[in-house]
Amino acid sequence: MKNAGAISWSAVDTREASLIARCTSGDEAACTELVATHQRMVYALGLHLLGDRDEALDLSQEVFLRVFRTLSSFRGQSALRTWIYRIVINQARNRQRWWRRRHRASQVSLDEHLQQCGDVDSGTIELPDRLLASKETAARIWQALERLPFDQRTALVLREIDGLRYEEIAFSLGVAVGTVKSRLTRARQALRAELLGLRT
Amino acid sequence: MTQYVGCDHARELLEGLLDGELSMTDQLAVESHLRWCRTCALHLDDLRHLGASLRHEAAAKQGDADAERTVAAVHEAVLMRVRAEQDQSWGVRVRETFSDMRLFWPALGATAAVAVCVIAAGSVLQATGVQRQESLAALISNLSSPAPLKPAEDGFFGVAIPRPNEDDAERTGGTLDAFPEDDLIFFVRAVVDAEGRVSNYDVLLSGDGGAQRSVRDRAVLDAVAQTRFVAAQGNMGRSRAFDMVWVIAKATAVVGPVVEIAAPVIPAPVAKAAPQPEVQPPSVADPRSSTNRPRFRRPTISATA
Repeated sequence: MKNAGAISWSAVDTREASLIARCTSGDEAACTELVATHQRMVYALGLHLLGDRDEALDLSQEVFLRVFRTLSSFRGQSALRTWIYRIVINQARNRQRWWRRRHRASQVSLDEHLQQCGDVDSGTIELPDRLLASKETAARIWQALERLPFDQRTALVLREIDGLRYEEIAFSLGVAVGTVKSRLTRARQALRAELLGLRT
Repeated sequence: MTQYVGCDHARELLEGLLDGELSMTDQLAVESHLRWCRTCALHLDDLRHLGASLRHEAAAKQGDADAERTVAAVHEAVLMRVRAEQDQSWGVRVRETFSDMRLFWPALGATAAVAVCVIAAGSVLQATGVQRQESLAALISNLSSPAPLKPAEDGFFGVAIPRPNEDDAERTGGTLDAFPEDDLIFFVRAVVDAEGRVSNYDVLLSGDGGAQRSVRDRAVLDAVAQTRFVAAQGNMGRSRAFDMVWVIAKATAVVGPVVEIAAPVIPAPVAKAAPQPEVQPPSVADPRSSTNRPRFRRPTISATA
């Protein structure tokens, strides 16, 4: 059994450090607890970054396998959640690169898709105009989010949806805090342009 | 006192205010600005609207109950696989370690490049390992730790001095037969090159100052120029040019034993900067020789470095 006490846990609380130590020693209950704690977060981030449910499920499976394989090398340089975010982002980036290489020829732009299949389904249930407009606006903004470059999209998702601080986003992306700010600014400018376009 | 900020600066700080990342001073300044600037306030509303829309849409996408059940099933499969992996062989683990080949090939290429560089550096070091005696490194090494001089074993400081071919020596000495004087001696300074040819020769001293001297000198010099030597041999067996003084003498014994001059005489080394002509020691009559033997002439060689 590995001795987790030798590790310096600067950014991890005692309960999390204990959980990690039990996982690395092969405690099945601890592994289950770790997955149960983070599975929703991992799946959601994968879904937001990749935009596809099946892809997100595959991704979350890969992420947890990698987490358990590399957990012994985790030194508490960040919160466990942030460390897992980093793995998710790296796996998503690899998956997107792979997908682009394999399916570049069959890619269709969103504009072409809308021309062929019509606009995005805004729901068949009758809703008040204001609520319907809000839902449509949200859907269009989400589409604009999916068109953003991967790094900008990731920064914005981590900030707006997952609520990470700039330092946590910087660690997850492996970049400086200033880079995070500039990516957030560019992403928001693009989405705001989309929003202003919807109003006119 | 609240700091005043203009619209440009306020716009830069709006995102920080929205994200809760501003210092207290900046936060107060921006909020003060927003109280009276309608444009910036609308800008901030837009940013809030964007965030709210994203969160709303994200919640709608991930809130599916079926998806929740699927996620749970997938993660149960993950746990089963983790348990299985704990019993897996090392071969499988290594294969899975290299499943992400994104960095493998660059790393392999870098390793190969380093290996090539190390081999190349080793080859260069090995090629330069043999130190040549005339190199600067060898010179410095010799100056820093001078070795005691070895006595000359064969020749002049380990260099075998050039020797004329037997026929050439006889012919050159026979040149003096054309002149009636009984005893003649010539000191010729000559440089014998690495191929055994004589170049850059000069008469240092001739036997007497008679009327035939210039004719005699020319004849001797012509004979000297035609003489071929076995070139000087250095320590490494290489041929070398050699600067020497060649003594050519004709001695006559009128009565008594035949005068025989010993074959090449190698004197003690003389400094090159001030070469001094070598004087042949006087001939010594050998009382054991017969009186009716013919007179004998042989050129002698003496050398200076």
